[in-house]
Amino acid sequence: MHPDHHAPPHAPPPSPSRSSRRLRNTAVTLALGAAMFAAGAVMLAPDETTVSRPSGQGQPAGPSRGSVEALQARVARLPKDPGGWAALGMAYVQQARTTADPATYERAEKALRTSLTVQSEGNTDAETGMGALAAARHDFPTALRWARKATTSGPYSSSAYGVLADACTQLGRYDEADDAVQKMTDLRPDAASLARASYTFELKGDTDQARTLMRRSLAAAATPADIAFAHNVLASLDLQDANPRAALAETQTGLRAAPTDSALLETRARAHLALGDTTKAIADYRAAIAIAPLPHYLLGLGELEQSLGHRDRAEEQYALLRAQDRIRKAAGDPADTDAILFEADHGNPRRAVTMAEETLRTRPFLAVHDAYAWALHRAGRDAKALTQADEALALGTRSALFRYHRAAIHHALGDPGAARRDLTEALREPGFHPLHADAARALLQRIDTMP
Amino acid sequence: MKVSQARPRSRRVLDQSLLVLGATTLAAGLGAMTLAPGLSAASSHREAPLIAGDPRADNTDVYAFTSPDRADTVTMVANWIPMEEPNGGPNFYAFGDDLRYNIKVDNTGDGVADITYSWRFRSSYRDAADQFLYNTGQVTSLKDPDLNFRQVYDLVVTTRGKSRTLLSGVPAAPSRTGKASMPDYAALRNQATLGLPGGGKTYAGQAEDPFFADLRVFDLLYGGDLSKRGQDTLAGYNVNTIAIQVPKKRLALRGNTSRNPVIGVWSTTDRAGVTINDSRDKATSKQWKQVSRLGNPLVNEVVVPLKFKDAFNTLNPDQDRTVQPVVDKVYDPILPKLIQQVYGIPAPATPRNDLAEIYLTGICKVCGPIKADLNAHRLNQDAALQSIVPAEELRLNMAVPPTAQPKRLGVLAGDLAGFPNGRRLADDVIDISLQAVEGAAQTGVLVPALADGDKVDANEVSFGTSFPYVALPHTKNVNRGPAAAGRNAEQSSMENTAVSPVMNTTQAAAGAGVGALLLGIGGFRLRRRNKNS
Repeated sequence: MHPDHHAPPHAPPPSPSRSSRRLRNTAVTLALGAAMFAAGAVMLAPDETTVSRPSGQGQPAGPSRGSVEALQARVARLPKDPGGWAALGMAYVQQARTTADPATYERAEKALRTSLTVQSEGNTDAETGMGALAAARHDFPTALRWARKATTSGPYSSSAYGVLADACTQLGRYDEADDAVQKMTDLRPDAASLARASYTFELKGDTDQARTLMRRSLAAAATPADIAFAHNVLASLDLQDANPRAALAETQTGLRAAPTDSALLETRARAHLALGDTTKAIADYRAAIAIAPLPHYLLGLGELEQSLGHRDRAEEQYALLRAQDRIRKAAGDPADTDAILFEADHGNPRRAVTMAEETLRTRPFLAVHDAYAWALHRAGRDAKALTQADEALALGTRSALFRYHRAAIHHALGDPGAARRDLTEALREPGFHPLHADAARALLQRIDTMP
Repeated sequence: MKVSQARPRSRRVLDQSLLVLGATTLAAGLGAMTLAPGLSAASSHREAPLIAGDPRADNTDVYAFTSPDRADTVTMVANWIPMEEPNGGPNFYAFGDDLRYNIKVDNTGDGVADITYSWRFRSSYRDAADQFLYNTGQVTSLKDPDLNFRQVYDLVVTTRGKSRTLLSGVPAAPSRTGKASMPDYAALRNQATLGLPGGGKTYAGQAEDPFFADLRVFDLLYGGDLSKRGQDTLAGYNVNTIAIQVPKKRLALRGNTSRNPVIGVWSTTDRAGVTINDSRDKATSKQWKQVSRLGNPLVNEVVVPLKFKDAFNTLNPDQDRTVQPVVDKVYDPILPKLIQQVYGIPAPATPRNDLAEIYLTGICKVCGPIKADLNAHRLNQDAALQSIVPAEELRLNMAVPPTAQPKRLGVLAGDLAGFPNGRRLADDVIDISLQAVEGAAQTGVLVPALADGDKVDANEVSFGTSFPYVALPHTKNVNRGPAAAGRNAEQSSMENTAVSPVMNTTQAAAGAGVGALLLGIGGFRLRRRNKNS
């Protein structure tokens, strides 16, 4: 049925030129679902269809359906439509993902709260949106509460189970996360749920299965954002499998669909780095940071500059990271893993331990266990660090960095055999880290030459 | 959840500084940033998309009608990928290789498909190494080397659990890339129109979107302004279409069209599922999951609350009655209440047994208040009454002969060969649905205030008179700026030949019960001339 095609709110930004006809059409089509019934974020439909838009064919006119602009117009016209507000809120959440603009989160919350005011009971879309928003803000206990609400009120909502899966994963409830992903894919095996299915296998270290499923997600993806996401994960898997050439090709294909996707730029930077082209790596890092100055981009670039002996340029990135962390602290948010690792390596390890302990309370995810392990190691508490490092690798996740971290801990605890195993595993990805990869090689050599 | 308390001004400065500041201007940015809320949120947790667009799986319309030029056959048409811009390069529009496209037929009324036609596509590039273009020169045939991207498909029919491949590796028509590249699309379509073993034919490829409506009608109903209707929101767009024409006896229960003339039709899209918790072989095993479903037009708009669209899309019709909120809304729909609120047109009394008849059981005298025997499965003499269940399907009484002068309002205008008895391409389903939801099918009287409906009474181009009936794809982009004038779909080159629409009516006229049909049709007076021809 025409009026309710599925529309992702993360459509590309509209061009400034707009034909009134198109504007009307798209707004109208969008409005239809909303006008009559409680339309939902998860049910709006994309104008974007199969593939990337041609270039040089004139500007697409008017905001595309599902875009923030189209949804703003819709709630302006139909302010009592909870579905419109929920869709707008979700669109902001998606937008915040790519822009890292904190004000967008507030706009998202406002729209979602308005939706919940208009319809407080059984508003699955707004509940799903609130869950997604909480997850985007890394408040996973809150995300879990909203997800449970959404899956109760909307037992057929694939998106609601997606939020549940995301929250459970980050809360270290991996079996429940698997169940939620199973339910999500059973309800609707689309790009979104196949991407999550891929992640469950990636976390278990089954990169072949993760790749197969992410290829299927890519086949099902229709919007540039979804296409870019799939290419980015596939490229990361290639890097994990020590195939930087494949990763480079994958990112380049992705960037054709979404030239300003900062995650793809960052992954391409890492592919260039693995291939030894530091100039291109730095250029890509800078491009990514110009789009969204996310902490792990800053950390990646800073450590790359440091590895090249550019202490001043590294310090520029580190200063930004410190500033971001002050902001975080002022807001009372728990630290992210990048901040913990940064503090452990470039700041005060004991403070990193405290940060990790705080974060772990609300986010016992394996990456946090890893960061905690590393912070403990840097603070000299290796016995405790080892249990945390084991926790980080308990699912069998293939991560060169986690492996290196545990190797260093094993070594500090006087277990060169275990350290050797982890180092060998880490160095399957020879360029896994600008600083630690060399350190790993040096440590392995020391173990091998000084038994 | 933490809500930032920061002052807007600082926040604005922060946004700017973080987004545009290079490291060189770092010092200026820092002061502002320390006042502003956290940014740490968006990293290092895998934020996969949550709301995936899925146009290739998005089934937009399904049609089922007695073929006007071959009254011993039924044509079923289903469309996917909404709002295809004719100017959709460089990759244009393709059926999904990861999907299974189905048209299903229930002739027993148990809500389970007795006959399923499934199309599965495979894509390839002739020159994947050196070319990414859809076509590299003028395409004059489906085998033309200039057609770089191509799709072939297998068509499988499943009856009572047994599958048979009807066609294998046959070509779909490509997206029409433009007049210069594909000057004679009708020729390509002819090559992609293939006969089926045992009779019938199929077509898969692009077509002009046959749906016509001012979708704003719903918006305006909400907004309370009926003064600006009349623009076909779908005009100018194309869709990917799958059409099949089969002898009626292949669809009828026990192959007996005169004893069992009623079929229910719906289309679905499936995508392979995933097993998360199992071994690696199982994880890729094909366990198909239904992701889109369509029977009667506008059910989600007129009846099913959108919240349950997800449920609806996953259900087989025999499960419809198990989802109480959906069933409840058939009996107690929201739309007439909304219309009452906005326009003061009183909503018909509930429960709406008439709507249940239209959408869930088909129309028959013993089925509900509409005093006619039209298209309920109960009219099939060999159907087991105890296994008939309420289920949302597009029901067609194949015994109703094609109409010489089809009326856009179908059954409501006394034209029994039109919606809701099946659905023809030219049936004005928005206007019919609006009237039906206001009780017109039950009372036999059109609601005058809504008689004009959306004021879009016909498709922007005319339909063909032979299979696959849908019009050739548009070649002009919809958005051509304010100077855009008439869009024509270059219909002149179509090979469709006009045939007398009154042929072959004798067989159909023999249908049981149809002659007795009584719908109070006399009460209808169409306000405008019928534009469909």
